[in-house]
Amino acid sequence: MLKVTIGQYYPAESFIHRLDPRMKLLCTLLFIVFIFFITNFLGYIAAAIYLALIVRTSTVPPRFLLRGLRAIFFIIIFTAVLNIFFTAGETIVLQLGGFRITQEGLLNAGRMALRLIMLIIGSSILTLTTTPIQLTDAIEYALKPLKKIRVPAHEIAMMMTIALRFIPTLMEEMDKIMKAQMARGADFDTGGLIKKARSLVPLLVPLFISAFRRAEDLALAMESRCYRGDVGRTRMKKMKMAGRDYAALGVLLLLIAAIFALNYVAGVFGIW
Amino acid sequence: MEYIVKAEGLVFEYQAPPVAEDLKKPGKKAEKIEIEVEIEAPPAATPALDGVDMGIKQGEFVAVLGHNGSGKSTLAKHINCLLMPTSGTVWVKGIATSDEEKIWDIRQSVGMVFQNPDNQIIATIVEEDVAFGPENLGIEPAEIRRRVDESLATVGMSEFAGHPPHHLSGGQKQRVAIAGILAMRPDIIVLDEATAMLDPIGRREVMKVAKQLNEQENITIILITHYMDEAALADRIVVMSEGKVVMSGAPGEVFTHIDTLQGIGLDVPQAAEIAHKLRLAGVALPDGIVTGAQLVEALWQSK
Repeated sequence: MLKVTIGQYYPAESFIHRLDPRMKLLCTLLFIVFIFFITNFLGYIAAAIYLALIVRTSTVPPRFLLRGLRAIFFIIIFTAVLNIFFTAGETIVLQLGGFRITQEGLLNAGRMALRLIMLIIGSSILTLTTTPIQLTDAIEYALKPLKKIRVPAHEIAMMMTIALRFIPTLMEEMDKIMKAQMARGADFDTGGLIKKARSLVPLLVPLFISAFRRAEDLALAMESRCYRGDVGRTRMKKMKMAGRDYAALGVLLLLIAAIFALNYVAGVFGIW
Repeated sequence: MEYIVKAEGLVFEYQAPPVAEDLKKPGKKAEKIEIEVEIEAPPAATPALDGVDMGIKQGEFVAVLGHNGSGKSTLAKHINCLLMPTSGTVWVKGIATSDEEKIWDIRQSVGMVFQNPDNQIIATIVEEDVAFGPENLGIEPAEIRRRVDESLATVGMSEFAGHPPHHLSGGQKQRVAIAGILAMRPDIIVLDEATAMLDPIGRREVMKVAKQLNEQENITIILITHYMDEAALADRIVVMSEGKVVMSGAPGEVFTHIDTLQGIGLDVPQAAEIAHKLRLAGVALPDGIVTGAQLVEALWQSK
Protein backbone atom coordinates (compact mmCIF):
# COMPACT_ATOMS: atom_id res chain seq x y z
CA MET A 1 0.00 0.00 0.00
CA LEU A 2 1.05 3.53 -0.72
CA LYS A 3 2.59 5.28 2.26
CA VAL A 4 2.62 9.03 2.52
CA THR A 5 4.67 10.61 5.28
CA ILE A 6 3.61 14.16 4.59
CA GLY A 7 0.60 14.89 6.72
CA GLN A 8 1.30 11.99 9.06
CA TYR A 9 1.72 13.12 12.60
CA TYR A 10 4.18 11.31 14.87
CA PRO A 11 2.82 11.62 18.42
CA ALA A 12 5.45 12.53 21.02
CA GLU A 13 6.11 15.19 23.63
CA SER A 14 9.37 16.68 22.47
CA PHE A 15 10.58 20.28 22.54
CA ILE A 16 9.85 20.55 18.81
CA HIS A 17 6.35 19.13 19.26
CA ARG A 18 5.53 21.75 21.85
CA LEU A 19 6.65 24.71 19.76
CA ASP A 20 3.99 27.09 18.52
CA PRO A 21 2.87 25.87 15.08
CA ARG A 22 3.11 29.40 13.69
CA MET A 23 6.75 29.58 14.74
CA LYS A 24 7.42 26.16 13.27
CA LEU A 25 5.81 27.20 10.01
CA LEU A 26 7.83 30.41 9.91
CA CYS A 27 11.07 28.60 10.73
CA THR A 28 10.45 25.94 8.10
CA LEU A 29 9.79 28.57 5.45
CA LEU A 30 12.89 30.51 6.45
CA PHE A 31 14.97 27.34 6.43
CA ILE A 32 13.72 26.37 2.97
CA VAL A 33 14.43 29.83 1.60
CA PHE A 34 17.90 30.09 3.08
CA ILE A 35 19.19 26.69 2.02
CA PHE A 36 19.01 28.13 -1.48
CA PHE A 37 21.48 30.81 -0.43
CA ILE A 38 24.16 28.29 0.45
CA THR A 39 27.01 28.42 -2.05
CA ASN A 40 29.51 25.90 -0.67
CA PHE A 41 29.76 22.60 1.11
CA LEU A 42 30.67 24.19 4.45
CA GLY A 43 27.24 25.77 4.43
CA TYR A 44 25.64 22.42 3.68
CA ILE A 45 27.49 20.86 6.58
CA ALA A 46 26.19 23.61 8.85
CA ALA A 47 22.64 23.11 7.61
CA ALA A 48 22.97 19.33 7.96
CA ILE A 49 24.16 19.68 11.56
CA TYR A 50 21.23 21.97 12.26
CA LEU A 51 18.78 19.48 10.73
CA ALA A 52 20.36 16.57 12.60
CA LEU A 53 19.95 18.52 15.85
CA ILE A 54 16.30 19.21 15.07
CA VAL A 55 15.63 15.57 14.21
CA ARG A 56 17.29 14.50 17.45
CA THR A 57 15.28 16.85 19.63
CA SER A 58 12.06 15.95 17.84
CA THR A 59 12.51 12.24 18.81
CA VAL A 60 11.03 11.26 15.44
CA PRO A 61 12.72 8.01 14.31
CA PRO A 62 14.84 8.75 11.20
CA ARG A 63 13.11 5.98 9.26
CA PHE A 64 9.97 8.14 9.15
CA LEU A 65 11.97 10.81 7.38
CA LEU A 66 13.57 8.33 5.02
CA ARG A 67 10.13 7.08 4.09
CA GLY A 68 9.24 10.60 2.99
CA LEU A 69 12.47 10.79 0.98
CA ARG A 70 11.83 7.52 -0.77
CA ALA A 71 8.67 8.96 -2.29
CA ILE A 72 10.64 11.68 -4.07
CA PHE A 73 13.78 9.63 -4.70
CA PHE A 74 13.00 9.58 -8.42
CA ILE A 75 12.68 13.36 -8.57
CA ILE A 76 16.02 13.80 -6.84
CA ILE A 77 17.75 11.48 -9.29
CA PHE A 78 16.02 13.15 -12.20
CA THR A 79 17.07 16.69 -11.25
CA ALA A 80 20.59 15.48 -10.50
CA VAL A 81 20.92 13.86 -13.91
CA LEU A 82 19.51 16.93 -15.66
CA ASN A 83 22.01 19.08 -13.82
CA ILE A 84 24.93 16.82 -14.67
CA PHE A 85 24.25 16.92 -18.38
CA PHE A 86 22.95 20.41 -18.88
CA THR A 87 25.30 22.55 -16.86
CA ALA A 88 27.78 24.38 -19.00
CA GLY A 89 31.28 24.24 -17.55
CA GLU A 90 34.97 24.42 -18.22
CA THR A 91 36.56 21.51 -16.40
CA ILE A 92 35.61 18.34 -18.27
CA VAL A 93 35.60 15.20 -16.17
CA LEU A 94 34.26 12.73 -18.67
CA GLN A 95 33.47 12.91 -22.37
CA LEU A 96 30.79 10.57 -23.72
CA GLY A 97 30.26 11.21 -27.41
CA GLY A 98 28.26 14.46 -27.60
CA PHE A 99 27.73 14.60 -23.86
CA ARG A 100 30.31 15.80 -21.50
CA ILE A 101 30.25 15.77 -17.78
CA THR A 102 31.84 18.79 -16.20
CA GLN A 103 32.98 19.46 -12.69
CA GLU A 104 30.51 22.31 -12.46
CA GLY A 105 27.75 19.96 -13.56
CA LEU A 106 28.59 17.44 -10.87
CA LEU A 107 28.77 20.12 -8.22
CA ASN A 108 25.46 21.60 -9.30
CA ALA A 109 23.83 18.19 -9.27
CA GLY A 110 25.15 17.52 -5.78
CA ARG A 111 23.91 20.89 -4.55
CA MET A 112 20.48 20.42 -6.04
CA ALA A 113 20.15 16.93 -4.56
CA LEU A 114 21.26 18.15 -1.13
CA ARG A 115 18.84 21.06 -1.26
CA LEU A 116 15.95 18.82 -2.20
CA ILE A 117 16.78 16.31 0.52
CA MET A 118 17.04 19.02 3.15
CA LEU A 119 13.87 20.65 1.92
CA ILE A 120 11.95 17.40 2.24
CA ILE A 121 13.43 16.53 5.64
CA GLY A 122 12.75 20.05 6.89
CA SER A 123 9.13 20.06 5.82
CA SER A 124 8.58 16.46 6.97
CA ILE A 125 9.77 17.46 10.42
CA LEU A 126 7.15 20.18 10.42
CA THR A 127 4.32 17.83 9.50
CA LEU A 128 5.57 15.00 11.70
CA THR A 129 5.74 17.12 14.84
CA THR A 130 2.66 19.25 14.26
CA THR A 131 -0.87 17.89 14.31
CA PRO A 132 -2.62 18.73 11.05
CA ILE A 133 -5.10 20.83 13.01
CA GLN A 134 -2.32 22.90 14.55
CA LEU A 135 -0.80 23.24 11.14
CA THR A 136 -4.00 24.43 9.54
CA ASP A 137 -4.50 26.80 12.46
CA ALA A 138 -1.08 28.24 11.74
CA ILE A 139 -1.87 28.54 8.04
CA GLU A 140 -5.20 30.15 8.86
CA TYR A 141 -3.34 32.64 11.03
CA ALA A 142 -0.81 33.32 8.29
CA LEU A 143 -3.61 33.88 5.76
CA LYS A 144 -5.61 36.15 8.08
CA PRO A 145 -4.31 39.42 6.60
CA LEU A 146 -5.54 38.17 3.22
CA LYS A 147 -9.11 37.98 4.53
CA LYS A 148 -9.39 41.67 3.72
CA ILE A 149 -9.07 40.87 0.05
CA ARG A 150 -11.70 38.14 0.49
CA VAL A 151 -9.41 35.14 0.74
CA PRO A 152 -11.52 32.59 2.66
CA ALA A 153 -8.81 31.78 5.18
CA HIS A 154 -11.00 29.78 7.55
CA GLU A 155 -12.60 27.76 4.79
CA ILE A 156 -9.23 26.93 3.25
CA ALA A 157 -7.95 25.78 6.63
CA MET A 158 -11.06 23.68 7.25
CA MET A 159 -10.78 22.06 3.84
CA MET A 160 -7.17 21.15 4.49
CA THR A 161 -8.04 19.68 7.88
CA ILE A 162 -10.75 17.53 6.40
CA ALA A 163 -8.55 16.46 3.51
CA LEU A 164 -5.84 15.40 5.96
CA ARG A 165 -8.38 13.65 8.16
CA PHE A 166 -9.68 11.59 5.25
CA ILE A 167 -6.38 10.61 3.62
CA PRO A 168 -5.96 7.47 5.75
CA THR A 169 -9.66 6.62 5.48
CA LEU A 170 -9.66 6.85 1.70
CA MET A 171 -6.38 4.96 1.46
CA GLU A 172 -7.88 2.11 3.45
CA GLU A 173 -10.89 2.17 1.23
CA MET A 174 -8.79 2.11 -1.92
CA ASP A 175 -6.91 -0.86 -0.53
CA LYS A 176 -10.21 -2.64 0.06
CA ILE A 177 -11.55 -1.89 -3.42
CA MET A 178 -8.26 -3.02 -4.93
CA LYS A 179 -8.36 -6.32 -3.07
CA ALA A 180 -11.99 -6.85 -3.98
CA GLN A 181 -11.16 -6.36 -7.64
CA MET A 182 -8.04 -8.48 -7.46
CA ALA A 183 -10.14 -11.25 -5.98
CA ARG A 184 -12.25 -11.08 -9.12
CA GLY A 185 -9.21 -11.26 -11.37
CA ALA A 186 -8.24 -7.62 -11.86
CA ASP A 187 -4.57 -7.12 -12.61
CA PHE A 188 -2.84 -4.02 -11.29
CA ASP A 189 0.77 -5.13 -11.49
CA THR A 190 1.65 -6.20 -15.02
CA GLY A 191 1.74 -4.33 -18.29
CA GLY A 192 3.15 -1.00 -19.32
CA LEU A 193 2.53 2.37 -17.82
CA ILE A 194 -0.59 3.02 -19.89
CA LYS A 195 -2.12 -0.35 -19.09
CA LYS A 196 -1.41 0.15 -15.41
CA ALA A 197 -2.92 3.63 -15.47
CA ARG A 198 -5.96 2.29 -17.22
CA SER A 199 -6.45 -0.46 -14.66
CA LEU A 200 -6.78 2.28 -12.05
CA VAL A 201 -9.94 3.70 -13.62
CA PRO A 202 -12.29 1.04 -12.22
CA LEU A 203 -10.66 1.76 -8.88
CA LEU A 204 -11.15 5.50 -8.95
CA VAL A 205 -14.81 5.45 -9.91
CA PRO A 206 -16.05 3.66 -6.78
CA LEU A 207 -13.60 5.66 -4.69
CA PHE A 208 -14.99 8.95 -5.99
CA ILE A 209 -18.58 7.88 -5.45
CA SER A 210 -17.89 6.90 -1.89
CA ALA A 211 -15.93 10.10 -1.29
CA PHE A 212 -18.96 12.13 -2.34
CA ARG A 213 -21.19 10.08 -0.08
CA ARG A 214 -18.80 10.64 2.79
CA ALA A 215 -18.74 14.35 2.06
CA GLU A 216 -22.51 14.51 2.29
CA ASP A 217 -22.56 12.60 5.59
CA LEU A 218 -19.81 14.80 6.96
CA ALA A 219 -21.64 17.98 6.00
CA LEU A 220 -24.70 16.75 7.90
CA ALA A 221 -22.61 15.79 10.91
CA MET A 222 -20.89 19.18 10.94
CA GLU A 223 -24.16 21.06 10.63
CA SER A 224 -25.75 19.07 13.41
CA ARG A 225 -22.84 20.11 15.61
CA CYS A 226 -23.61 23.76 14.99
CA TYR A 227 -20.87 24.45 12.45
CA ARG A 228 -21.54 27.72 10.62
CA GLY A 229 -18.17 28.80 9.27
CA ASP A 230 -15.97 30.88 11.52
CA VAL A 231 -18.86 32.97 12.85
CA GLY A 232 -18.47 33.25 16.61
CA ARG A 233 -16.09 30.31 16.75
CA THR A 234 -13.53 29.84 19.52
CA ARG A 235 -10.68 27.36 19.76
CA MET A 236 -9.86 24.95 22.55
CA LYS A 237 -6.15 25.22 22.00
CA LYS A 238 -5.17 28.84 21.85
CA MET A 239 -1.84 29.39 20.21
CA LYS A 240 0.59 31.20 22.43
CA MET A 241 4.19 32.10 21.71
CA ALA A 242 6.46 31.18 24.58
CA GLY A 243 10.15 31.66 25.37
CA ARG A 244 11.03 28.39 23.64
CA ASP A 245 9.55 29.67 20.38
CA TYR A 246 11.86 32.66 20.37
CA ALA A 247 14.75 30.39 21.34
CA ALA A 248 14.00 28.18 18.32
CA LEU A 249 13.88 31.22 16.06
CA GLY A 250 17.18 32.37 17.56
CA VAL A 251 18.86 29.08 16.72
CA LEU A 252 17.60 29.31 13.15
CA LEU A 253 18.86 32.90 12.86
CA LEU A 254 22.25 31.65 14.04
CA LEU A 255 22.23 29.09 11.26
CA ILE A 256 21.32 31.76 8.70
CA ALA A 257 24.15 33.96 9.99
CA ALA A 258 26.49 30.97 9.78
CA ILE A 259 25.42 30.31 6.20
CA PHE A 260 26.31 33.85 5.16
CA ALA A 261 29.55 33.85 7.12
CA LEU A 262 30.57 30.56 5.53
CA ASN A 263 29.58 31.86 2.09
CA TYR A 264 31.96 34.78 2.69
CA VAL A 265 34.77 32.58 3.96
CA ALA A 266 34.33 30.18 1.05
CA GLY A 267 34.37 33.11 -1.36
CA VAL A 268 37.64 34.37 0.04
CA PHE A 269 39.38 31.00 0.05
CA GLY A 270 37.77 29.71 -3.14
CA ILE A 271 36.16 26.68 -1.49
CA TRP A 272 33.35 25.05 -3.48
CA MET B 1 -43.74 21.86 29.14
CA GLU B 2 -44.70 18.27 29.28
CA TYR B 3 -42.93 16.94 26.23
CA ILE B 4 -39.33 17.74 25.37
CA VAL B 5 -39.85 16.59 21.79
CA LYS B 6 -43.25 16.72 20.22
CA ALA B 7 -44.43 16.14 16.66
CA GLU B 8 -47.88 16.94 15.37
CA GLY B 9 -49.18 16.00 11.95
CA LEU B 10 -45.62 15.79 10.69
CA VAL B 11 -45.43 15.19 6.95
CA PHE B 12 -42.25 15.18 4.95
CA GLU B 13 -41.76 14.60 1.25
CA TYR B 14 -38.32 14.32 -0.24
CA GLN B 15 -38.08 16.96 -2.92
CA ALA B 16 -34.43 17.87 -2.87
CA PRO B 17 -31.48 16.23 -1.20
CA PRO B 18 -31.27 17.47 2.38
CA VAL B 19 -27.94 19.20 1.89
CA ALA B 20 -29.39 21.34 -0.86
CA GLU B 21 -31.64 23.15 1.64
CA ASP B 22 -28.94 25.61 2.49
CA LEU B 23 -28.08 26.32 -1.11
CA LYS B 24 -31.58 27.56 -1.76
CA LYS B 25 -30.86 30.77 0.07
CA PRO B 26 -30.32 33.71 -2.25
CA GLY B 27 -26.81 34.46 -3.35
CA LYS B 28 -25.83 30.85 -3.79
CA LYS B 29 -25.91 28.92 -6.99
CA ALA B 30 -29.43 27.65 -7.43
CA GLU B 31 -29.24 26.03 -10.84
CA LYS B 32 -27.32 23.05 -9.49
CA ILE B 33 -30.20 22.06 -7.23
CA GLU B 34 -32.71 21.90 -10.00
CA ILE B 35 -30.69 19.28 -11.78
CA GLU B 36 -30.53 17.19 -8.66
CA VAL B 37 -34.24 17.58 -7.97
CA GLU B 38 -35.08 15.88 -11.20
CA ILE B 39 -32.94 12.91 -10.35
CA GLU B 40 -33.93 12.59 -6.71
CA ALA B 41 -37.67 13.12 -6.76
CA PRO B 42 -39.70 10.07 -7.75
CA PRO B 43 -42.52 10.83 -10.22
CA ALA B 44 -45.30 10.43 -7.68
CA ALA B 45 -43.74 11.66 -4.45
CA THR B 46 -44.61 9.32 -1.62
CA PRO B 47 -44.11 11.10 1.68
CA ALA B 48 -41.29 9.74 3.83
CA LEU B 49 -43.31 10.83 6.84
CA ASP B 50 -47.07 10.75 6.60
CA GLY B 51 -48.73 12.40 9.56
CA VAL B 52 -46.56 11.51 12.53
CA ASP B 53 -47.83 12.45 15.99
CA MET B 54 -45.64 11.69 18.94
CA GLY B 55 -44.37 13.09 22.20
CA ILE B 56 -41.22 12.27 24.13
CA LYS B 57 -40.75 13.24 27.75
CA GLN B 58 -37.65 14.60 29.41
CA GLY B 59 -35.42 11.75 30.56
CA GLU B 60 -37.14 9.08 28.51
CA PHE B 61 -35.27 6.36 26.61
CA VAL B 62 -37.27 5.84 23.45
CA ALA B 63 -36.48 3.40 20.67
CA VAL B 64 -37.86 4.08 17.21
CA LEU B 65 -38.17 0.79 15.35
CA GLY B 66 -38.85 0.23 11.71
CA HIS B 67 -37.53 -1.52 8.65
CA ASN B 68 -35.58 0.28 5.92
CA GLY B 69 -37.53 3.14 4.42
CA SER B 70 -40.04 3.33 7.25
CA GLY B 71 -39.17 6.98 7.82
CA LYS B 72 -37.41 6.55 11.16
CA SER B 73 -34.19 8.28 10.08
CA THR B 74 -36.15 11.06 8.40
CA LEU B 75 -37.97 11.61 11.67
CA ALA B 76 -34.65 11.78 13.52
CA LYS B 77 -33.33 14.45 11.17
CA HIS B 78 -36.38 16.61 11.88
CA ILE B 79 -35.58 16.75 15.57
CA ASN B 80 -32.24 18.37 14.79
CA CYS B 81 -33.52 20.80 12.11
CA LEU B 82 -31.52 19.00 9.44
CA LEU B 83 -34.83 18.55 7.65
CA MET B 84 -37.83 20.87 7.74
CA PRO B 85 -41.37 19.46 7.73
CA THR B 86 -43.38 19.78 4.52
CA SER B 87 -46.37 20.28 6.79
CA GLY B 88 -47.01 19.83 10.49
CA THR B 89 -44.68 20.92 13.26
CA VAL B 90 -41.93 19.52 15.45
CA TRP B 91 -41.27 21.19 18.79
CA VAL B 92 -38.05 20.75 20.73
CA LYS B 93 -38.18 22.15 24.25
CA GLY B 94 -41.22 24.12 23.18
CA ILE B 95 -39.48 25.72 20.19
CA ALA B 96 -40.77 24.90 16.72
CA THR B 97 -37.94 23.65 14.51
CA SER B 98 -39.17 25.91 11.72
CA ASP B 99 -38.10 28.93 13.79
CA GLU B 100 -34.94 29.81 11.90
CA GLU B 101 -33.59 32.09 14.59
CA LYS B 102 -33.56 29.32 17.16
CA ILE B 103 -32.04 26.68 14.90
CA TRP B 104 -28.63 26.77 16.64
CA ASP B 105 -30.23 26.53 20.09
CA ILE B 106 -32.07 23.44 18.96
CA ARG B 107 -28.99 21.88 17.44
CA GLN B 108 -27.10 22.51 20.65
CA SER B 109 -29.81 20.76 22.69
CA VAL B 110 -30.17 17.84 20.28
CA GLY B 111 -27.04 15.85 19.55
CA MET B 112 -27.01 13.41 16.65
CA VAL B 113 -24.88 10.32 16.28
CA PHE B 114 -24.98 8.99 12.74
CA GLN B 115 -24.59 5.56 11.24
CA ASN B 116 -21.15 5.65 9.70
CA PRO B 117 -18.53 6.17 12.40
CA ASP B 118 -15.93 7.34 9.86
CA ASN B 119 -18.02 10.05 8.29
CA GLN B 120 -18.78 12.13 11.35
CA ILE B 121 -15.35 12.64 12.84
CA ILE B 122 -13.97 15.94 11.60
CA ALA B 123 -10.63 16.31 13.32
CA THR B 124 -7.48 14.23 13.11
CA ILE B 125 -7.08 13.90 16.88
CA VAL B 126 -9.77 12.53 19.18
CA GLU B 127 -9.83 15.40 21.67
CA GLU B 128 -9.87 18.01 18.93
CA ASP B 129 -12.88 16.33 17.42
CA VAL B 130 -14.66 16.38 20.76
CA ALA B 131 -13.84 20.10 20.97
CA PHE B 132 -15.38 20.81 17.56
CA GLY B 133 -18.96 21.28 18.83
CA PRO B 134 -18.18 23.61 21.75
CA GLU B 135 -15.79 25.56 19.52
CA ASN B 136 -18.66 26.18 17.13
CA LEU B 137 -20.75 27.42 20.04
CA GLY B 138 -18.09 29.98 20.89
CA ILE B 139 -17.29 28.72 24.37
CA GLU B 140 -14.23 29.89 26.32
CA PRO B 141 -11.09 27.77 25.66
CA ALA B 142 -10.60 26.80 29.33
CA GLU B 143 -14.23 25.68 29.57
CA ILE B 144 -13.91 23.69 26.33
CA ARG B 145 -10.86 21.91 27.75
CA ARG B 146 -12.83 21.01 30.88
CA ARG B 147 -15.82 19.76 28.92
CA VAL B 148 -13.66 17.71 26.55
CA ASP B 149 -11.88 15.94 29.40
CA GLU B 150 -15.15 15.35 31.21
CA SER B 151 -16.98 14.02 28.15
CA LEU B 152 -14.16 11.68 27.19
CA ALA B 153 -14.11 10.34 30.74
CA THR B 154 -17.88 9.79 30.68
CA VAL B 155 -17.70 7.59 27.59
CA GLY B 156 -14.52 5.90 28.83
CA MET B 157 -12.24 7.18 26.08
CA SER B 158 -9.86 9.39 28.09
CA GLU B 159 -6.82 7.29 27.31
CA PHE B 160 -7.37 7.82 23.58
CA ALA B 161 -7.57 11.63 23.79
CA GLY B 162 -4.40 12.13 21.76
CA HIS B 163 -4.95 9.35 19.23
CA PRO B 164 -5.86 9.74 15.57
CA PRO B 165 -9.42 8.47 15.05
CA HIS B 166 -8.61 6.06 12.23
CA HIS B 167 -6.79 3.82 14.69
CA LEU B 168 -9.93 3.30 16.77
CA SER B 169 -12.51 0.55 16.43
CA GLY B 170 -16.02 1.35 15.22
CA GLY B 171 -17.48 1.24 18.72
CA GLN B 172 -14.74 3.53 20.01
CA LYS B 173 -15.35 5.99 17.18
CA GLN B 174 -19.05 6.14 18.02
CA ARG B 175 -18.19 6.75 21.67
CA VAL B 176 -15.96 9.63 20.55
CA ALA B 177 -18.89 10.96 18.52
CA ILE B 178 -21.09 10.74 21.64
CA ALA B 179 -18.41 12.56 23.65
CA GLY B 180 -18.36 15.27 20.98
CA ILE B 181 -22.06 15.75 21.55
CA LEU B 182 -21.85 15.60 25.34
CA ALA B 183 -19.35 18.45 25.25
CA MET B 184 -22.14 20.60 23.81
CA ARG B 185 -24.27 19.88 26.90
CA PRO B 186 -27.34 18.53 25.10
CA ASP B 187 -30.70 17.55 26.60
CA ILE B 188 -31.42 14.98 23.94
CA ILE B 189 -29.21 12.55 22.06
CA VAL B 190 -30.51 10.96 18.89
CA LEU B 191 -28.69 7.80 17.89
CA ASP B 192 -29.56 7.48 14.22
CA GLU B 193 -28.78 3.81 13.56
CA ALA B 194 -25.52 4.50 15.32
CA THR B 195 -24.92 0.80 15.93
CA ALA B 196 -25.83 -0.48 12.47
CA MET B 197 -22.24 -0.65 11.22
CA LEU B 198 -20.67 -1.98 14.41
CA ASP B 199 -19.68 -5.45 15.52
CA PRO B 200 -21.48 -6.96 18.54
CA ILE B 201 -18.83 -5.69 20.97
CA GLY B 202 -19.02 -2.17 19.58
CA ARG B 203 -22.79 -2.26 19.76
CA ARG B 204 -22.71 -3.30 23.37
CA GLU B 205 -20.25 -0.48 24.21
CA VAL B 206 -22.41 2.17 22.57
CA MET B 207 -25.62 0.87 24.15
CA LYS B 208 -23.97 0.81 27.57
CA VAL B 209 -22.93 4.44 27.22
CA ALA B 210 -26.39 5.45 26.01
CA LYS B 211 -28.07 3.70 28.92
CA GLN B 212 -25.63 5.21 31.39
CA LEU B 213 -26.18 8.74 30.06
CA ASN B 214 -29.91 8.25 30.29
CA GLU B 215 -29.81 6.96 33.85
CA GLN B 216 -27.05 9.10 35.37
CA GLU B 217 -27.22 12.37 33.46
CA ASN B 218 -30.97 12.22 32.77
CA ILE B 219 -30.39 12.84 29.06
CA THR B 220 -33.30 11.96 26.83
CA ILE B 221 -32.22 9.23 24.40
CA ILE B 222 -33.91 8.60 21.09
CA LEU B 223 -32.58 5.39 19.62
CA ILE B 224 -33.29 4.79 15.95
CA THR B 225 -32.65 1.15 15.22
CA HIS B 226 -33.80 -2.01 13.59
CA TYR B 227 -32.23 -4.29 16.17
CA MET B 228 -34.90 -5.73 18.45
CA ASP B 229 -32.45 -6.50 21.25
CA GLU B 230 -31.45 -2.86 21.46
CA ALA B 231 -35.02 -1.62 21.32
CA ALA B 232 -35.84 -4.01 24.17
CA LEU B 233 -33.58 -1.95 26.46
CA ALA B 234 -35.69 1.19 25.97
CA ASP B 235 -38.42 2.51 28.26
CA ARG B 236 -40.73 2.83 25.32
CA ILE B 237 -40.79 1.68 21.72
CA VAL B 238 -42.30 3.58 18.81
CA VAL B 239 -42.85 1.36 15.81
CA MET B 240 -42.91 3.02 12.41
CA SER B 241 -43.92 1.77 9.00
CA GLU B 242 -44.48 3.60 5.72
CA GLY B 243 -43.97 6.97 7.39
CA LYS B 244 -46.57 6.37 10.09
CA VAL B 245 -46.44 5.48 13.75
CA VAL B 246 -47.96 2.03 13.98
CA MET B 247 -47.54 1.28 17.65
CA SER B 248 -46.13 2.82 20.78
CA GLY B 249 -45.64 1.37 24.22
CA ALA B 250 -43.37 -0.42 26.65
CA PRO B 251 -41.21 -3.15 25.05
CA GLY B 252 -43.08 -5.94 26.84
CA GLU B 253 -46.35 -4.63 25.49
CA VAL B 254 -45.19 -3.92 21.94
CA PHE B 255 -43.57 -7.31 21.54
CA THR B 256 -46.82 -9.12 22.29
CA HIS B 257 -48.20 -7.91 18.95
CA ILE B 258 -46.10 -10.41 17.08
CA ASP B 259 -48.38 -10.68 14.07
CA THR B 260 -48.55 -6.92 13.52
CA LEU B 261 -44.80 -6.59 13.81
CA GLN B 262 -44.12 -9.44 11.42
CA GLY B 263 -46.70 -7.95 9.06
CA ILE B 264 -44.55 -4.84 8.64
CA GLY B 265 -41.37 -6.80 8.22
CA LEU B 266 -40.00 -6.74 11.75
CA ASP B 267 -38.97 -9.59 13.99
CA VAL B 268 -39.56 -9.80 17.69
CA PRO B 269 -36.84 -10.81 20.13
CA GLN B 270 -36.64 -14.56 20.36
CA ALA B 271 -37.55 -14.66 24.05
CA ALA B 272 -40.70 -12.62 23.43
CA GLU B 273 -41.72 -14.91 20.60
CA ILE B 274 -41.18 -18.09 22.63
CA ALA B 275 -43.09 -16.58 25.56
CA HIS B 276 -45.93 -15.69 23.24
CA LYS B 277 -46.11 -19.20 21.80
CA LEU B 278 -45.92 -20.77 25.24
CA ARG B 279 -48.83 -18.60 26.34
CA LEU B 280 -50.84 -19.72 23.34
CA ALA B 281 -50.00 -23.31 24.26
CA GLY B 282 -51.47 -22.71 27.69
CA VAL B 283 -48.42 -22.06 29.84
CA ALA B 284 -49.21 -19.32 32.32
CA LEU B 285 -46.55 -16.63 31.88
CA PRO B 286 -46.65 -13.00 32.95
CA ASP B 287 -46.79 -10.23 30.36
CA GLY B 288 -43.81 -8.16 29.34
CA ILE B 289 -41.19 -10.84 28.75
CA VAL B 290 -38.57 -9.47 26.37
CA THR B 291 -35.16 -10.83 27.28
CA GLY B 292 -33.91 -14.37 27.68
CA ALA B 293 -33.19 -13.80 31.36
CA GLN B 294 -36.76 -12.68 32.01
CA LEU B 295 -38.10 -15.73 30.23
CA VAL B 296 -35.93 -18.11 32.23
CA GLU B 297 -36.98 -16.39 35.45
CA ALA B 298 -40.66 -16.61 34.52
CA LEU B 299 -40.37 -20.27 33.59
CA TRP B 300 -38.69 -21.06 36.90
CA GLN B 301 -41.48 -19.40 38.78
CA SER B 302 -44.40 -20.78 36.78
CA LYS B 303 -46.36 -23.61 38.39
